[in-house]
Amino acid sequence: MISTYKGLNRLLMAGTVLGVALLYAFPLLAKTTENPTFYLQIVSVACFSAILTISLNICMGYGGLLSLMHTGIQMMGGYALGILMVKKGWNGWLALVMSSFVGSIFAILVILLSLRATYLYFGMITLAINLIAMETVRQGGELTGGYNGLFGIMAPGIPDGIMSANTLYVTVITILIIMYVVQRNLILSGFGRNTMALRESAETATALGISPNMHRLKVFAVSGAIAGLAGGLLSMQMGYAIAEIGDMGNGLIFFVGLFLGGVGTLAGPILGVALVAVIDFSIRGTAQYRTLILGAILLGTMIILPRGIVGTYRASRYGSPRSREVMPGEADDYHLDIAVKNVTKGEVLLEATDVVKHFGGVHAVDGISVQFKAGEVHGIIGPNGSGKSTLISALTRYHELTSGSVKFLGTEADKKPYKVARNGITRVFQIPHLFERVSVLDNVLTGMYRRDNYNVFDAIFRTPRYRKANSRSVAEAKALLSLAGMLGMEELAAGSISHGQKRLLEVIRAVATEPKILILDEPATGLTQDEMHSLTSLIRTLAAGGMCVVLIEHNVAFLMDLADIVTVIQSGKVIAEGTPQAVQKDERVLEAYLGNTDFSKELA
Amino acid sequence: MSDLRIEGLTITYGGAKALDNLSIEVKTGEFVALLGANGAGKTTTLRATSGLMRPAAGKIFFDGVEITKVPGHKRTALGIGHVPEGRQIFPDHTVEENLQLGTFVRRKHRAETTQSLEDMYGLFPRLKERHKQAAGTLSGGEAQMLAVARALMSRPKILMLDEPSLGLAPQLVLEMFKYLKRLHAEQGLTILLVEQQARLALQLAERAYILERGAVKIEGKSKDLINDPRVAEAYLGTAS
Amino acid sequence: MSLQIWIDGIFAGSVFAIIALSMTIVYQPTRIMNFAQGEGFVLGAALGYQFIGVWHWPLIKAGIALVLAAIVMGFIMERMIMLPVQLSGSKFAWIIATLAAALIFQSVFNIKWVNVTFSYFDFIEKDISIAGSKLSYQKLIVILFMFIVYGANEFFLKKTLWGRSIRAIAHNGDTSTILGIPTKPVIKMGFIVGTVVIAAVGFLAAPVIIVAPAAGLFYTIQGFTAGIIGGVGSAKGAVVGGLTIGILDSVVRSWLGGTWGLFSTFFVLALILILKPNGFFGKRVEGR
Repeated sequence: MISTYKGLNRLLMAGTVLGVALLYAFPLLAKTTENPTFYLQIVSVACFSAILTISLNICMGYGGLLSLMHTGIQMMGGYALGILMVKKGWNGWLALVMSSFVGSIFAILVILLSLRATYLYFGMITLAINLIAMETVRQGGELTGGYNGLFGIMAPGIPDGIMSANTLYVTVITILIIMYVVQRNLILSGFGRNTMALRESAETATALGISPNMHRLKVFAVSGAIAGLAGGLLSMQMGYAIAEIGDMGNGLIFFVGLFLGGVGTLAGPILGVALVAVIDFSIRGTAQYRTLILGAILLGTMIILPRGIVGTYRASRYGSPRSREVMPGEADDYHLDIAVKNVTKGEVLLEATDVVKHFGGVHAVDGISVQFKAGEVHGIIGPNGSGKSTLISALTRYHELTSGSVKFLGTEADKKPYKVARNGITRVFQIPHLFERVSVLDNVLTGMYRRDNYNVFDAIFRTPRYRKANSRSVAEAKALLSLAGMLGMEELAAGSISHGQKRLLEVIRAVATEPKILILDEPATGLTQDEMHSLTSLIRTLAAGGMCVVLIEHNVAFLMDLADIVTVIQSGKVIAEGTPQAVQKDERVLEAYLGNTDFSKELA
Repeated sequence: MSDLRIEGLTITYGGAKALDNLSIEVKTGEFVALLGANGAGKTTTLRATSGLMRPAAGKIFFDGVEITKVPGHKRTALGIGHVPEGRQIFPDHTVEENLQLGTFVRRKHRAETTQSLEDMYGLFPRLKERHKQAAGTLSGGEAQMLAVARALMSRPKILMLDEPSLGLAPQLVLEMFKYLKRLHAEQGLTILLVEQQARLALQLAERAYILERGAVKIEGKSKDLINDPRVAEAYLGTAS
Repeated sequence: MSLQIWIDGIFAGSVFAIIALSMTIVYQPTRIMNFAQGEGFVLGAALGYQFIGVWHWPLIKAGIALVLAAIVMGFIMERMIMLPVQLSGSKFAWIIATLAAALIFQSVFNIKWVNVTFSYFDFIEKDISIAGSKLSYQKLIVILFMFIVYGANEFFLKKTLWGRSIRAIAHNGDTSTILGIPTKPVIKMGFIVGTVVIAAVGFLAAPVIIVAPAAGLFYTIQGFTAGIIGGVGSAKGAVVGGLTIGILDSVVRSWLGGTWGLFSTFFVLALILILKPNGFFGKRVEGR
């Protein structure tokens, strides 16, 4: 079975190499036809489409950002190139770089304008901006050539003169391959992980310390840069820039390619665009049916193959990753020191004083004071609706306090949730918030993002700085997996492992953020006895290393052997606090859970 | 006539088993309580019965007929009434409109539904006072009454309630439960009550199931269970 | 500024308002903004051209045939959009499905009516004179139609049980199911009624506006713009938004000429999205 999987992979790789070779050799093939330029142009146009689709894939597929303005960015890139070359006499190659830069700036501006917008409205903003951009260039007068567009762009030769069709073609293919590698390097790095994390669950990403706004900005900027470049290339090939390039109707073709190939996959954009090009070519005699056929394909893809071709392959038995065999003694190679730095056991890490949180008329948290100490396992229990979760949300700044104070290591705690995470308080939510479509290893690595001290360019060019940081992180991640007994499962999609394993994975991902305080919201729910044992021993190890582990639990039995201290909350107030054994026998606690009023007489 | 039988129901949610081979039964005219700690599967059981969740395995029978594959909105017409967790009234509709929405399944019988409306106002005078007010302006207790009345408007044969006492003052809880007891005694309404407050529920119901991790852990007559230490254990674990 | 500009603005605004209203009707039970909605407008214009302009049918026969055709289109559109949405799990499903549907319908119009623009004669070839400006009866019919649609929609949603059920579904699908309200038929109804309304306004307005077969997306965008400015999901917002952009476009055009009118409406759209994303009357409700 494993050999089949490996064999299939090798086949695909061989196929890719062959495909690339064919692409480069194509001009020679084309020479044998009556109209070589025609065929070259088809492939060139397909390449531009592929580049733009890659940029769409990065922002929509991986980033989850709906953009209806990519054709507009492309247009801006083309105009930037045209204006610089025709009006200012710039060198073509420099102008090409600028077109990418302009695309990026344009994208950044739009994101900055729409920080507060929700997903749907962001899409609408991009639509509006696209339309405005198109109108603006039409009204640009001398500079942009108005309605007629900007003509006279000549592709620069190497080194001088005008580029031949063949050379332009080879340039385009090369740039496409470079863009593919850029996409790949970005996605398979911390940048890519954070991007997917934000897409899957913005809340969880924030809890791990990722700043949503900052990161979305970076994603869109990269996407815009690639789209701008595609636009520059397109205008260079066509020899002009015109507003119609920005028309969203033209952009629908890219969606077809993207979704047919597989949105959110690396090879999807190229495969999809290639298929669309082939289909386009075969129906070239019946141009008026083109839109109809493409629209039908898009619809059909959504119904039959919602993940696209590559996506469906990846999800199938043949394409999906397997767990690998663990070498004996391998676990010893990965040793992790859990000790939390700079804390002494028993030290007060987080202190809540008279915290009050009202929601309108509801007093969710009504004056709670509690201390969380290093090296302790601290349980918080209470009946449904008692205010436990609200308390924790207030302490981790997902809610603003109505009154009261929260101090972390003696100073007032930060107001933004992702900053709280960066300072050392990590929270694991009640409902599993794993990044389901991302691998087990990548999930853990997302937790380490703060220790990845490299930037976007390091990731793209795989600099030594990136390599060092990456291998260090991978080693630590494997050590954590080993601690949870999950070594060997690195490549599996997180969504495919059992519920108990998902739980453990979430916990170690949180541990990867090196928290001083780890907050687990009902971690024992749905676990088998064995899984609960694994979790218990993991928590004990963490606490022994100085971490404060806060457990919000309903399963009081689970807490019995584990917690050092338990705080009982009801109706927003603390009604008891002490060792688990003491709390279990406390009459007030029993009443809180089982009800205290005796209605038997009234109801008789 | 209005007996509910759930056999071997298994429901998975996000990879975990919310219900694990659950089997419970409510016979016609019974008042049964469904108890257990949070996450035990009580709400899931009601939602599955109403048709909001698809089971991975198992069957549901109502009035002798299997309804496992019947879509949710048709189950209401069969006589299954559900007062959901958190009341879920429609805040932008008036009190009266909320009640009328409850009669959707009987919308063809205009005269009868108008009569039902009058009956509800008779039973809940406070709702009558506020009948033109937007439901979002009601207090917690009034909203709970509205939710119960709305469910009753469909003339259910069985009424399922999900933690109706949540967030209510004890006096209001008493009022509501007195009313439920009356409905049960006088009109023979079959009732399945989910409650976290075990003692309270046991004082009302004839029989109870205590769920743990999606399956029945304890079952029996209320009067036997009310002093059973296992009930406390189900919530708070064994005293070590 | 002459009254004519305002009259033309109100007329155009009414068209946009009705388009936005039809989108609201689809949005209510589904939470979907339908990119293919404008194709219904083109259907109305196309069939108006075909029935009245080419085949010279009497008005009544044409009207009835139009409504029937719109019902069929609405039914097909619902399946084209809701099937992928229900089968896929992707949050992009509705956008892609509605875009694909728009593409497909647009190409059908392009193929059937190659090189045609849909214009035919006014139904009542008369004008009213108001303070020296002219208001044609055709335009008046459209403006009145807007009020009729708005009124009927409000009445339906607020006073009938089915209408209230639709609002209930928009608010909480699960609770509606528990009460026995069927969501699937309601969604179908939403698409069908929405399509009939927009096809009707296409039919009525085409004598005045010149509609091309591929204009669907343009009208969709106008409808979106009006809806967002007024507040997504709000009928009042649809009317206010539509009139706003109609009048704004007319006034700006007379002032600055050409396409500055369009520019200004998109500018207002961007402004609203940035400053007041819920529009004038919208609620803080998230779309899909």
